[in-house]
Amino acid sequence: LRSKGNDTSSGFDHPHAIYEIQVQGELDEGWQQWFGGLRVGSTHTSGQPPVTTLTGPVADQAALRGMLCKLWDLNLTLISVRRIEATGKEETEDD
Amino acid sequence: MTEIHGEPGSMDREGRGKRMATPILSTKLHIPSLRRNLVSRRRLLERLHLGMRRRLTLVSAPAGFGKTTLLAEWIQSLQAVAAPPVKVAWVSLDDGDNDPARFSAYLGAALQQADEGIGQVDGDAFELAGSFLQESHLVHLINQVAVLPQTLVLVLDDYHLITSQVIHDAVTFLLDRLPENLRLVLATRADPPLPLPRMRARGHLTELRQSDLRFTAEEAAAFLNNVMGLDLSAKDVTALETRTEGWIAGLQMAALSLQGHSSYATARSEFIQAFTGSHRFILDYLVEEVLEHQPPALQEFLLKTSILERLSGPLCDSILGEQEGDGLERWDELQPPSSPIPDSQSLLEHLEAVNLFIVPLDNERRWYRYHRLFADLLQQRLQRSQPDSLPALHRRASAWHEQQGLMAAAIDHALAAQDLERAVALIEDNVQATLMRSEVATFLNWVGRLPDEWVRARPTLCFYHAWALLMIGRSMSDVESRLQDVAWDRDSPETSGVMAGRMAAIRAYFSLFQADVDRATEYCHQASELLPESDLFLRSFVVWLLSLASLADGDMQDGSQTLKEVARMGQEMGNPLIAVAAVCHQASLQMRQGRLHRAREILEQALELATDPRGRRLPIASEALVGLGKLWFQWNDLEAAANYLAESIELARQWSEIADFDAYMPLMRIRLAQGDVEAARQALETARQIALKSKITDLDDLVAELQRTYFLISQGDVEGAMRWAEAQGLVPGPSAEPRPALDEAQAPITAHLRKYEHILLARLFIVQGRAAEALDLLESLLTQARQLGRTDLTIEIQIMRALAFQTGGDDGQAMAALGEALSLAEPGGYVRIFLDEGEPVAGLLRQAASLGMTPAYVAKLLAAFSETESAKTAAVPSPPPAQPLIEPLSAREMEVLRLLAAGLSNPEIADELVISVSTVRSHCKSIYGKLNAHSRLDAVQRAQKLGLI
Repeated sequence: LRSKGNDTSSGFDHPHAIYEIQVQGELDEGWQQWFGGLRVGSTHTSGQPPVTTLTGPVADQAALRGMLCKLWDLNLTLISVRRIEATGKEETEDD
Repeated sequence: MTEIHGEPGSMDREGRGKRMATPILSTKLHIPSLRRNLVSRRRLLERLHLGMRRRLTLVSAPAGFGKTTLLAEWIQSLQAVAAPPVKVAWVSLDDGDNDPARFSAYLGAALQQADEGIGQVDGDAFELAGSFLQESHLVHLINQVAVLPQTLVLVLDDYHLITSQVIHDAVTFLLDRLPENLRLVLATRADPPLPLPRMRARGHLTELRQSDLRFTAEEAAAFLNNVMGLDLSAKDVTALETRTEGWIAGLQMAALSLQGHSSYATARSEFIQAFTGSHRFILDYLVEEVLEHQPPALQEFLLKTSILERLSGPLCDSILGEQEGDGLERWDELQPPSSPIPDSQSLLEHLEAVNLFIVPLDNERRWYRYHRLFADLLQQRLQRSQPDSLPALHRRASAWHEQQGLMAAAIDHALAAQDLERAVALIEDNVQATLMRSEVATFLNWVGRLPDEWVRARPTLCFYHAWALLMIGRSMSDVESRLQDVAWDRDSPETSGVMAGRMAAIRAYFSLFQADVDRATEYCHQASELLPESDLFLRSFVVWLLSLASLADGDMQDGSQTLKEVARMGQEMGNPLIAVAAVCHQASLQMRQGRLHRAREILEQALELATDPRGRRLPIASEALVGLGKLWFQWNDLEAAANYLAESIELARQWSEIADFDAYMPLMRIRLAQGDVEAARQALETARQIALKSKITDLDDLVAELQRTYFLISQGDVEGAMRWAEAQGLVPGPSAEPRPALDEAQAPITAHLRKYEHILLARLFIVQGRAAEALDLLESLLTQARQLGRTDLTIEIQIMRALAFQTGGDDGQAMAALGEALSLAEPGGYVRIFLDEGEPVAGLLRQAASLGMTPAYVAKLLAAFSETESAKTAAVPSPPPAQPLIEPLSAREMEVLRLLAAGLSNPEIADELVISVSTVRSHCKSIYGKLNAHSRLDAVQRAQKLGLI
C-alpha cells in the first residue's frame, strides 16, 4: 500500500467543497495541473487493478462537471465521485 | 484567403449585408477526407445504411473510437452508391457554437453548401438576427428540404460540445418534424439531452455505441498488420487488443510506438510485453513512446503547436518562428547544422504522411487540426514540461489571428495567455461588430472569462456588458447594477465626454422602455452632443430613439425630421435595420395624420429597403408588413390584411421571441371583423403571452390589457370591461385605487396610454347608455387629439361623439360630429373605423346620406355595411364554449388541461400535441392564471370542480 501526491499550492483555504474522484488506471502526478491543481495520487492493491484518486477543492458544480468531462475526454473509467467535508483543510484518503 | 473567410466582409456574396455576416470558417464545414489506407468497417457501415430509415443516428462513444472517420467513410460510400446521390451537410462543432447566432450561421452555411436552394431566405435572416433557431424558421427549413428530390444528411460532429439548452431545444424540435428525406446524424462523446428514450421506443433512433465501435480482434489485426504494416503474430495482436480493449486511439498509438522500435520481432515483443504489463494510463505511456521516437525538432513542433485549434503552415511558423531568448537557441541546437530548419508546412505534411493524429481540414492541405485527444495529451505534456512558454505561445497565436482578422480566435488566445490587457483591448475593439451580428452570447462568454475587477475597471467593457444584458432581456436591476460599475475618469476630457455620451444613450433607451418620453429625449440630446462623430453604431441608435421619443410625444414635425435623418444614416452605414425601422415610423406618422395613401407609399418603400436583391425579405420587413396589414384592414380588405400580418409574424419571430407582438393587435381586430371570435381570442391570448415574456417593460402588458378590454366590450361583456376600468382607477369601484385626474401629473408610462384608456372608457359608457359621461370624456379627448394633430383619433372620437349624441337624442350635434369625421376620413379612405361601430353608425350614415353629406363616400361606406351584413348571415355562427370562467380556456388550453389531468409530463404533452415544451409551459401558465390555480394538481382539481373536464 502506497500513496503518492503533492501538496496543492493553493486553493485549500477556500471554503470550497472538497471532492475525491477515483478513476481506473494509474496517472502520475504530472497530471495535477491538467486537472486544475487537484492532487493526483494512485494506489495499488495487490491483485487489484490500480486506482487513481484526484482530491481537492472544486469551486462549484460547473467546475466539477468540467473536471469529469476532462477525465471522460481521456477515456478514463470513472469509479467514484465523493464529496468530503468542506473543512477548509486538506484531507488525505488512503486505503 | 480562400479557405478561411476572416473578415466579416468576405461573406459578402451577392450583396449581403457587410457588417452583419458571421465570419464562417469553411474548414468547419469540410467533410473529413479519408486516409488512403484504413480498416473498412463494413459491419458498421451496414448499420449506418439501415439507419437511413430512421430519423436520428447517434454515434455516441468516448474520444478515440473512430466516430468521425467512420462517418466520413460512410458518407463516401453513400455518395457513391445512392441514386440520386445523397446530399450531405457537415458541421464540426466547437465551443463557440454554443452561441445560438453562431450555431445557426454554421447550420445555415452547411445546408447551403449541400444544396444552394436551402436556407437561403434563412441565410439572410440568421445573419441579420441570429434567430435561425426560432421554430417558425426551422419549419421553413424543413419545408425547403421536404421538396428536394434527394435525401439530405445533416451531420453534427462533436455534438457533446453543445451545452446551450436553446440549441438542444431547436434540435429536438427539428427531430420531431423531420421530413422523410432529411436525416440527422450526431457524433458525440456523451449522450445529448434529447428525447432519446422516446425516439428509441418509437423506432426513430439508430445507435452506435462504444461496444459497437471498438475494434474486434479481426479489425485490430487488419489495422496493425495491413494498415500499419507491422506484421505481428496473432498472440501479439491479441495482447494489444486486450490491453487497449479495442480502443482505436490506443491501438493506433501502440502501432506508432512499434513503428518507432526496431523491426526485430524480439524488440517488438519486448515492447508489447512492457506495455501490456504496465498499469499506467495507456495514452500517457504511449504518447511518451511515440514522442521519444520522433526527431527533437518535430517533438518541439508537436508540443508547441498543440495549443492551436486549427493549424496552418504560416500560423505555426509565426508562433514558433520568433522564439524569445533560449527558445530560439534550443530550436537551433536541436537541428543538425547541415539540415535546414524545416518549415511548418512541410512538417504538417510529414505528420499527415506518417499518420500522426493530424486531420486535414480542406483539400488544399492548408488547414489541419490534431486529433483532439492527441492535442489534449500534447498540451498536457507542454504544460508539464515548459509551463513558462505557454503565455508567449498564446500571445503570438493571438497576434497572428488578429492580423488575419480572425478576432474570435485572437481573443480566445489572448485570454488563454492571461494577457488580459490585450484581451480587453481586442474585446473592446470588436464589441460593436459582435453585438451587431447578434452574437451576444459570444460577447458575454468573453466577459465571463475576465476577472470581474477587470471588467469593472474598464468603463467601455462595463457599458457594453450592460448593453448586452439589456439585449438578452435581463431584468432592469441586473442591467442597472452593471451600469453602477461604470466608472470613468471624469477629469480626462476625451474619455469623459465619450463615456458620458454612452451613458446618456443607454439611459435614453431605459427611459423609453419606461415610456418616460421627456427624460428619453433629454438623454438623447445629451448623447448626441457627447458621442464622437465616429461612433456611428451608438449615434444612429440615439437618433432612432429620439425619433421614437418625438413620436410618442406627439411632436410629429420634429419626429419626422429626425426620422429622415435616421433613415439616411442607416442607409449610409449599410444598416438596413435602422433605415427600415425609421422609414416605417415615418409611415406611422402619416397614418396618425390620416394620410393613409401616403403611408402606403412609404411602407412600400420600406419593404423595398428590407428586401435584398434576390427578393428575399429581411426580418425587419415585419415592421413594414404590420403597417400594411393595418392599412388594408382599415380599407376593409380583410384577407389582404391578414396575409400581411401572417407574413409579418413569420419574419418577426426570426427576429426575437417578442418582436411579433405588434401584429396580434390588428390581427385580433381582423378576426373580430370576420366574426371569428375564437381566433380573435387566440390572437389576443398570444399577444398577452408575449407581453408576459418580455420583462424589460410593462408597456406591452398594458397595451395587451387595453386590447383585451376592447375585446370584452365587443363581446358585450360589460361587467368584465368595468372590472378593468375599476382596476385602472378610471371609475370608482371596489377594486379601484385612487388615481389622479386626467390633467394631473402621472407616471409617464400610464400618461402615454391614458388617452387610449379614456377612449375605451368612453366606449364602455356608450355601451352602457351613459351618454353624458361619455360626452364629457370625449370632449376633453377631442381637444387633446386635435392638439397632438392625431387625425386618426379625432375621427374615432367624433364617431363616438355622434353615437353618444344620438343616444342623448341630439341629432343635430350627432350629424355635426359625424360630418367632421367623414370629412377627415374621406381623403384616407377609412372604412373599418365606421364599420366596427356596427349598426348604430349605419343608421347615422343613412341619415347623413339623406342630408347629402359627402355623398360618394357615405354611399361607399353604406355599401360596405350591407356587404358585411350579408356575409354575417351567410357565416355559420360559432357557438361560444359554455365555460363558467371569466376568461374561457382556449381550445388548445383545454387539450393541454385534459393531458395534464391524464398525468402527462410537459415533454409528453409537447410530444402528444406536436408543440414545443416551452409552448406547453406557457399554456400551463395561462391555464393556471385563468383557473387561479397554483399547481398542476390544483388546476386539475379546480377544472374538475368547474365541470371543465
